Amino acid sequence: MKIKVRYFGQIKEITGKSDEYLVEQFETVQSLKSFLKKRYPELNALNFKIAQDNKIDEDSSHLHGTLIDLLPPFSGG
Amino acid sequence: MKQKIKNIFVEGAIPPSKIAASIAHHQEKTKIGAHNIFLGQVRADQIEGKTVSAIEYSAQTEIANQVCHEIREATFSKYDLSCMHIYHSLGKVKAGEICFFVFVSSAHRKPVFDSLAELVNDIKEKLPIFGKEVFEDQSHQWKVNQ
Repeated sequence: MKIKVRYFGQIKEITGKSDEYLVEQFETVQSLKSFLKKRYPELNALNFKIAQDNKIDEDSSHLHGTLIDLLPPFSGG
Repeated sequence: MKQKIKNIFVEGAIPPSKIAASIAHHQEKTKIGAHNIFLGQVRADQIEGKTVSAIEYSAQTEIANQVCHEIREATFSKYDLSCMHIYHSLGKVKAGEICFFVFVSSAHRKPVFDSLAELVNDIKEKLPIFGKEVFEDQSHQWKVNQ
């Protein structure tokens, strides 16, 4: 199963792209996070959240979504 | 009745005329006795000798609108409000311009005083909106909420 990963805010700067497709399999949100932190080491310095299919999810959750968003710290207002 | 999810985002700064029009729009709702308004304005912060000239906002708009909808519903059930309007900018907003507008109305003052601070805090904390502070020399840093 192919997943689309989108990058927001400063994460878009770190990865140098707004999205990409991954074909690797991930058990949990945490395992996807670890994979991306290896690919983009600068992510280690950042506290970010992951959303699956437009819902923010816990690191321990099963990775089931096909649309994944990486959300850096929120700074609206 | 389930309310449909509203889009809170507007492109660029929120013009003062929009705020005035919004107030005027409530004059026909004569059961209202109290309004309360929060306006977020872009601050020309000085950071290491450089001055912020604008903030460029981006967001995961689907999640932001969904979470804002949940906050809105929770606030309506907690406080006796007749109206609630929430707008946030996307894109570039210059220092001195308005980027965030929250407007609550009720028959009396207590619900609007109590609900507004909570709403503003919840929105700032829970909505995936990202501010990029652009300096006068066009360099930038990512905004961190206090």
